[in-house]
Amino acid sequence: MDDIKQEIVEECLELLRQGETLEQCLERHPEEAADLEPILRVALSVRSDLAAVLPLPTRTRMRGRVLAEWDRQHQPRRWNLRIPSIFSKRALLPEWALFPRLAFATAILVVALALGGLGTNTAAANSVPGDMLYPVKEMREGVQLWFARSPEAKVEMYTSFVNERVEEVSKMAAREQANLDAISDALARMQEHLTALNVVVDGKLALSNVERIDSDFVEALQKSIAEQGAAGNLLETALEEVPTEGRPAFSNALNALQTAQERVDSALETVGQSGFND
Amino acid sequence: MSIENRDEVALVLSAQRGDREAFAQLYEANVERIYRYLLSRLAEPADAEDVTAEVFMQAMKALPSYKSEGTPLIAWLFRIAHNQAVNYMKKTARRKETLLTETAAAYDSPEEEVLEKVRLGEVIGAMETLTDLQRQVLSLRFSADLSIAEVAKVMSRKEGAVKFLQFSALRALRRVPNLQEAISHGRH
Repeated sequence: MDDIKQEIVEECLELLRQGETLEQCLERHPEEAADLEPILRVALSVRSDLAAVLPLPTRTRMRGRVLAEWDRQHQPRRWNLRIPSIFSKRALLPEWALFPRLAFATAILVVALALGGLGTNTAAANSVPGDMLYPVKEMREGVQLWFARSPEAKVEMYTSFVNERVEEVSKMAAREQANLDAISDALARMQEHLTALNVVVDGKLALSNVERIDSDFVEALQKSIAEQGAAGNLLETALEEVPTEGRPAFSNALNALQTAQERVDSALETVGQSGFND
Repeated sequence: MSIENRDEVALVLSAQRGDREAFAQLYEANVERIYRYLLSRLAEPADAEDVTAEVFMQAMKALPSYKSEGTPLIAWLFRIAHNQAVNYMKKTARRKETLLTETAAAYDSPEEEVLEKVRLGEVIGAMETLTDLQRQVLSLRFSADLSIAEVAKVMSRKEGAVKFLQFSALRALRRVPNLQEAISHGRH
């Protein structure tokens, strides 16, 4: 009986959409009219209230934001090496502190030579596992991680590595002959980054008085959770590209992402419940 | 603004090759329905604006791996929008029951705008009594104005299942006292 009513409700909704009145519609089904009328009135009410108009200023503002992001994403990538704050406070440092400066300069030189210039670095940044330049990308990430000293820098770094792995998976999945082993390896590495991220978050909360957690760390967590959500969406899209046998690795990775988001969410709750003040 | 399916396919291919104008056209063609859907899920225009922009940014990132295969772009965008809305609600854990009071008190806007927010709040408040799937169906049907067939594609469900969800949702809303009162007083 409900099946028939479902069909009639749908039929009436379409007729109402085309301009017919509620009464005209009910006249078509006199035996059901008493039951249908309140349901259709609710439907009309919901339709009328949810049909909001997108204001022009909002539309323009969003367009500006979206296209600015397009421009940002379509600029050539640059090597964004994080320089520890210790090197920018020379005046406060003792004599021996010049040594790290020299070590830093040497490291830069070695890395620059190893990378063979900005062009190589850009190509390496866009590479995926199995590409000739992928080891350069891995080395660059190792250097970046070495320089990320504070917990918030590490949270940002591991989050960006998670994004990198997901983007690699997305690119590999889009290929005609997707290399499932390479995809699976990238997903496993993504989970390692998430584990490392959780260790940093747990460590920070365990070692700090939560009432004194600084705003930089909270911001890094908020950014991380948003980016992990985005990574999940990208991964779900990529999942649809791969054959069935490649999908279990995606399920594991998506579960790991979900768990990591819940962990970060809970960390934020802990900080919030403790009366976080900047 | 609507675009034919073949035009959409051509625009998607151009955008995948890095054509900014093609992406801007896809944005213009779809933004209104995504915004309305998100407003119906999040209730607050500022939240809907932020999340709508985020949806298009995510779509931009995932575009290289998007393949149409007969499913319109809007269906894919709605899936992203749904995930973003769920994440956003979880992140902010907002208490919707306080929203109306805050909105009515805080907004220095014309009376009609406040009334519209109150009306929208009543419906969304009533929709809180539904399951997530029922809410999703009503939002896609009535705010994004999709047909049953389109909703079925977005939600990867059969049309019969969508009709059932729509019918059970409307029947459940019939029993919500506030909404019924508003309808019987002719506010809707």
